[in-house]
Amino acid sequence: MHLILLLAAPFVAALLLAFASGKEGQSSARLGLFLGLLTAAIALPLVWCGGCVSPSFIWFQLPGIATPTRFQLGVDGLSAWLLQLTAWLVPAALWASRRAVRERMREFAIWTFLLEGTIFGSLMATDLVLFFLFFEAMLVPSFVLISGFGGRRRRQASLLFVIFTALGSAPLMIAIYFLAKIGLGTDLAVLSARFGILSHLGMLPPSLALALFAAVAVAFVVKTPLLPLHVWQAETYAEAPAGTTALLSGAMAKVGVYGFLRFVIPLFPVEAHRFALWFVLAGLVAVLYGALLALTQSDVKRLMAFSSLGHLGLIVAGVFTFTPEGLKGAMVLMVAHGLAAGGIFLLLGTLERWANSRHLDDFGGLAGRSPFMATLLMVLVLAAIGLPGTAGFVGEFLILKGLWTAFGPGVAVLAGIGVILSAAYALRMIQKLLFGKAALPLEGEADLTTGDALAVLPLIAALIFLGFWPSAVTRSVEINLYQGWSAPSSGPACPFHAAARKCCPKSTQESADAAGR
Amino acid sequence: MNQLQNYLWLLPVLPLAGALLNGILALAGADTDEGPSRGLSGFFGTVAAGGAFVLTLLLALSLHPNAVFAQAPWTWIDAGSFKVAFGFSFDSLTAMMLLFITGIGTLIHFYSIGYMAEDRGFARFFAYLNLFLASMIVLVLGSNLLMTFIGWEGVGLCSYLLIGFWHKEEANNNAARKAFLVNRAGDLGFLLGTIALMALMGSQASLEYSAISAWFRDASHAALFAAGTTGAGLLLASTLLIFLGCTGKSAQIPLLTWLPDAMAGPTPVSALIHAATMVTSGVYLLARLSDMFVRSPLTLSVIAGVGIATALWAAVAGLFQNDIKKVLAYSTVSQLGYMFMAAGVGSFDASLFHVFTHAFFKATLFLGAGSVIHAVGGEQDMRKMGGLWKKLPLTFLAMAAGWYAILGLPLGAGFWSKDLILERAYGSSPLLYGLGLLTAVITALYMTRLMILTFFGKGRDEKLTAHAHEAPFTMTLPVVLLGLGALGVGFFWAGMIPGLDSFHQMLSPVLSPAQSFWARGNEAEEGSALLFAAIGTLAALVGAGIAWAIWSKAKIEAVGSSAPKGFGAFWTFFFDYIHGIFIAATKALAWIGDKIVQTVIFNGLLALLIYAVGMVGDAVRSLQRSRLRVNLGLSLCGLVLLLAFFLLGAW
Amino acid sequence: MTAISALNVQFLALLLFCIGLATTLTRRNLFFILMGVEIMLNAANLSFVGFSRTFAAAASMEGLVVPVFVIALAASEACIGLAMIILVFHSRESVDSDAYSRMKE
Repeated sequence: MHLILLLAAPFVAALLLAFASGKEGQSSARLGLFLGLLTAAIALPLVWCGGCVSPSFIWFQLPGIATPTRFQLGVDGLSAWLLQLTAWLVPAALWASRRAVRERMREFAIWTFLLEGTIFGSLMATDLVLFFLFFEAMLVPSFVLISGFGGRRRRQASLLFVIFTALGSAPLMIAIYFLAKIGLGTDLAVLSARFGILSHLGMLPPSLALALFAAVAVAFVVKTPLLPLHVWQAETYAEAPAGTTALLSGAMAKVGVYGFLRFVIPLFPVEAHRFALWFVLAGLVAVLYGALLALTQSDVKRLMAFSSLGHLGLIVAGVFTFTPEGLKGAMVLMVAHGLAAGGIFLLLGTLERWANSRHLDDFGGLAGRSPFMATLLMVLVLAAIGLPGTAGFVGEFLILKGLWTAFGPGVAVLAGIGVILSAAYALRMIQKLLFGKAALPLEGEADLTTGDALAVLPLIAALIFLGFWPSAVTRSVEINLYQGWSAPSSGPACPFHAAARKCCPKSTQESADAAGR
Repeated sequence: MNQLQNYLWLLPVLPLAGALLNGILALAGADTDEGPSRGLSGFFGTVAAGGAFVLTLLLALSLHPNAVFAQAPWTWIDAGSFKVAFGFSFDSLTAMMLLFITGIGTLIHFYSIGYMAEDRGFARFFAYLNLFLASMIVLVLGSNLLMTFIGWEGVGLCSYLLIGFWHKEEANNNAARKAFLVNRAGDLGFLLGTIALMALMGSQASLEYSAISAWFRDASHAALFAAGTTGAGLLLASTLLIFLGCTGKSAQIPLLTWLPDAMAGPTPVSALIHAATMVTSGVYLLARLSDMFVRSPLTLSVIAGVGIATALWAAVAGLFQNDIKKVLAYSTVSQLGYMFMAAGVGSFDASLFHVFTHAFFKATLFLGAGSVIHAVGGEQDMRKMGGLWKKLPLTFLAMAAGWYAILGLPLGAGFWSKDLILERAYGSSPLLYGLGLLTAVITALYMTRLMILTFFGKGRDEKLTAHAHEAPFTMTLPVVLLGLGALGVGFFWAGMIPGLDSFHQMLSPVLSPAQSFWARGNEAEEGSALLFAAIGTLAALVGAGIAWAIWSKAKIEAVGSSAPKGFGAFWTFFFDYIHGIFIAATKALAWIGDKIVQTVIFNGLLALLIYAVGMVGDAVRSLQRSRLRVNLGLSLCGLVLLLAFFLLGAW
Repeated sequence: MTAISALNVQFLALLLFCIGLATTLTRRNLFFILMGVEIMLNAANLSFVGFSRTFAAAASMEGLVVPVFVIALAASEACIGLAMIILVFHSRESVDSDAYSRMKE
């Protein structure tokens, strides 16, 4: 029930915002902030949830498939923190964008909440068809946000993004149908179990398994993105409005990684292990490539886009090491990167508004003019490159260890070179933005206002907190890894699950039955 | 007093609080012209540092040499296969390091109140300085490798912030960036070495220093890394990688190019960070992991070789410099080379003792140089100075003490530590001893040259030297105190002062297992300590004499910039050229990635795809007829076809 | 009254249908297109009625009822169609269907 409430919350928020004033932006901004914080508060208890499942409803029956598709939501250790990340980024993004968007704040907030709702749906769906629905639905609000509120080349960017991603997900749709046909149903827990057994026993024709694996993987390679299907990322991140880019980079990209963790690996364990080295190498090449290209960019948001490419590559490499430290590191780095990159994009949005430009050479001397902004930007960039004391370091270290354990020193050295290069481009960006002499005079406020800073300070606080206490994230990963939701509550007690058991024993019994089937 | 153990966490927190306070003061006063109150900011900064020193003193005095104070508040990382605690441990090695770190740190804080008094960024400076102190404390206080790494990168960060403190000049920013990146390359070695160590220790992998030492001392594990096993390869890799990290932080070959450039920062920064504390982290780490390193003889040989090579190279480079701070920078690199050479021959206590004495006399020299620069209004080129001993008597005396110590003249601090190192080096290999002695001669040469050019003769630039005056009290006091230290701290080794535990005895619980293990495997030649002392002093006097002969009467022309030229430039920037190759390669790769891969391959493919789709779209579009009648007709045809399909298909 | 051959009725209906179809597809005037549709509908009606006379009484109810529906349908369709022509006439000032070929503008 709690999960359905969480899923409904952003949509209800969007609905409520429709009643806000369309002419004046401040009230919509405040309402949006309040509703965003409320949603985040609803999401917070899930961190302790050891595999919560919602009651399930029979939705419809696909023709030719034995069992009907169910509408059921589930959260476990993998998705809990990603949900948190999304939930906490949204109010920050809304509040930080209010000066850039001004009168059209109402529409911006509505579409942002819709985006949040579809991301929640993707992360919580327990059924393949339900997941696909939300996965594709994420494109609509993103398209509206980018083409409605973006930069100069927003139309090209939004079209590129939507078409590229939709093309990438098309094989997934076909694969879902085949999977449902073979596995006799679309429920994920059931399918993972059945497919796992089938491929281990070698009962699937290998070419079919390979084709299905490729079809499913392609969608997530495009979404994350992973080299070589990353072309949409630079343009999209650069042209989207800052608040949306923060969400795209911080939350939506993680849905891609989540797809690997939740779908590709459990459904096709044999193929995943066989091609693990390929994915790791693709990830590491992405790290190096992203860092090298970030060194040459002059558009500051494109620079961060390539930085994200690198980080996500490292995360995927960590996932495919199949070691506990690699996985935990990937999880921690996901949360860390979401927070850091999200914060940086929000601050870059303010900078873009001040300078009317994203060109690095147009900045300079920010430390003298706006020391508060400079300090926060510096802290966030240092967190992004994995300074010890922030969560990013823990994630990177664990992934390095996982890479060495799984594939030996050479691979770890490659990843390590990426670490050095990331410092190179980060310092270049910092130096051009903050130090030296100012190239152009900046308009707008003299320094970061308290309001804008408050959008970013919680992210910094979370980064430092998780840097010293990463157990908060790693402990939740230990719950139900790869088991989906088939064994709820094997970890710390989920307070809502326990409460539900007390009040409505029948409904939890049904959901337990459905999950155990 | 076991209660004190619970306050270990206060040691880094005190300067951290000072940093936060100063940071808030700096930000709050950002929009005023004057900036925040100097008194407030300086007071809190110095008190924070001083508080850490007092606490260290209390802890050190109540520490039994064999004991360890430990505090591990929580488990930091739990990755299933291994755990890392967020812990502090305070043993006698930590005590020794922390005493001079916090002590000299407090003196330099005090000095900075005077030195930076005119600077607008006063509060920011103290914030960074306190943050540095906190990071350095964490580095030394950490109970495991990753805790040390927090401090390791933390000091790197603060070094970046402080070198680029005057960030309006691009040159300072570039120097700061260079320092951070070169350090980061070393940090990669640190991390990979740690991971290799964990791979070596296998199922008992732990990053705690106590566990690592115990694991290596356990004789049953020796088979795991005996010659020829994969364990041996892992041990070699791990030690070499960690040593690479040390070369980055302590500016040895090949990662030393950042230290001379780091002189772009304010002089207190150079004194604290690049002379006394941060650069000694590498030596500290080697001592901490001594049990591991002595079991890899090849690595120790490499360390010794790199150490003496760096010492010699840097000493020669010091001869070519005209900037007073650059001379001292290369001198630091050279002395660090000595420390590594000592570690490389298994004498970790000797290297640490030199760390201790070097901190005092190098800090004296740097702070004294700072007073000189302050006196001549910011000029750093020695060729323009001269005759300052009359104008700055106290500073001159203090720097003379530092000069005396670094030359290793009798009873100065350097006398005890440097001769000990040379003695131990002789025990291992006469070649090392010979090269070390040569370096000592050259050290005397360039240091005497510095003193002569700066203080003696006639003032070469009248404008500068006319107004030179002694520095204010806040600056002179620390310099004098440190000068006294430069003369006096050497006696800690000899134990001549009754009641004061000799250095050797203090460190032996920590270092002797490793050193005795090494000594068993490598027979050392004994020599008379007095003979070594005599030869060392002779070498220093020879160098000083040659310098006096050349430079006291020479005509010095201050032509052009203070940078070395010709062969001097080639020698000085040799490693910069090598780094330049890597940087050029990276830039080339980045260019290829940008122009060729991204633009041609990816965007080109995309454009191709778009073009193809466009062509198909155009073709399909031609099927659309816009005329209403034709549309009607075609749709009717379609309907008929559908009907036919279904009706006929039903058969 | 001589019985009209059932087949002839169908032929008439077919002929009417073809005339209607030809009118719809070939005339340019919007009104004539609608007229053609009406003729087609009426031809279908005629066919139904013709069949109802052919079959036995019990099976022939549909043949009488359906035309009633169709007439109602045709009437409403004519209503709406004419209303739309009037509305659309405001933009182009023409009843020539070729004037409405470029929908975009």
